[in-house]
Amino acid sequence: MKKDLIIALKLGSICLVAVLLLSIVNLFTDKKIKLSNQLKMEAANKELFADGVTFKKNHFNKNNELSDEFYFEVYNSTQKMIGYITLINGTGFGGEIALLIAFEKNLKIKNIKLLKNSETPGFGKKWENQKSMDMFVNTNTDDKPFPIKKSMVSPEFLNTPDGVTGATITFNGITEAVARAISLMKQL
Amino acid sequence: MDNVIIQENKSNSLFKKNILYFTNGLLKENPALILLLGMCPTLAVTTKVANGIGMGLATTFVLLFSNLLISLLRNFIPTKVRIPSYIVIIASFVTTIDLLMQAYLPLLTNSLGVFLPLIVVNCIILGRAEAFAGKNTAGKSILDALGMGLGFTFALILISLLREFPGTLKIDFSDFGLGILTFLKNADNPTLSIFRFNIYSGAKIFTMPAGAFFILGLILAFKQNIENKKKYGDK
Repeated sequence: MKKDLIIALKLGSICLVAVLLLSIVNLFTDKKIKLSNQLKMEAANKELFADGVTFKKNHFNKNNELSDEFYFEVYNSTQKMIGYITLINGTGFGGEIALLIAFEKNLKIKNIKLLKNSETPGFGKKWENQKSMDMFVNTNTDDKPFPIKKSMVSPEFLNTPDGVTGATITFNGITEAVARAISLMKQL
Repeated sequence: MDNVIIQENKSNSLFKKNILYFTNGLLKENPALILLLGMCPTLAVTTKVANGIGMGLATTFVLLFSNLLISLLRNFIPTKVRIPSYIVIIASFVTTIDLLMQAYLPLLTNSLGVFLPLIVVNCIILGRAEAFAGKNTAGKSILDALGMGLGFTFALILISLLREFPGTLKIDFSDFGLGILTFLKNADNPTLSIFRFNIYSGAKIFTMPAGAFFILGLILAFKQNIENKKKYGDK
């Protein structure tokens, strides 16, 4: 009994030291990581909406300002609102993914960008390439619904070497997240 | 007079003995090419030389600090719970390097993806902890970690060099904030051409997963050939 207690205490003390070490490292790197994520987001916003000038950040739930899912209202140089950019989280093959989705005013999808992800290099990572998102562009209208399943994707996108083949789970993760974003945007 | 010479010989052999702990990992027991440990990152991330360097150095960092700590604590850690203790120590250092890389090399973190946190379960690190650091002094463990880590880095660089260059005809260091190295014009899409005929613009198979197996297999065959010649002569 006493022996087991000593073993538990020793293991506990190792864990405690590990926690201390990690909190110190976090203290140093947290600001820097947040800053680099923010810069990435700003650059991505500009990339998705080239004619956007002001991006006004809003939360879906006004009471939850800390939520990591939110949207920007995009204004052009004459202060006219031209669309939205939504940040949404989902689950890919390697864990959490974050997507930026640019909508036009009528919620037609203008473009999608895969931000944070831990997908497999050579497979799921390919979705970082803007070209693979082409299959979603200009969908979510009355005559062109958003392709939530692989079978709904136009065949011309499936035969490209960088198509969905080999990264189905990432594809499903992306479409599920986008469908959720669409329903959230419709509620606004 | 005789005494001095003996002492010199002694220190010389001590140095020789210690350097063996270092070179052991570099060549004789190279973790990736001889022991065939850590095959998952070896095959998966070596699509780019930059990935190979990043992954190798990250592994070396974790190996160095976990070996050092485990060898210092080897009399403190109870034998019954040594594996959980090793994993806690290794996981803390992996998280440390993960956070540091996210902060200072965000592009490299992106391209290494899930394999960076997966260093925790890299069998080289747990293997060295169990086989070496848990039984030897701190100094020897550091030498062993450096040798093993640099040997792994060397193997990753070798494989990724043989994959990236034939695959794309360029070596992309943009993840480190540096340029792209190529011997041909048009750095974005280099093509080998003679008299305006495009002959070769890189074979994609090398950067695909299959290419990793091909290249690793060729390297192992080449190594085996040399060893066999040493052993049996030219027969």
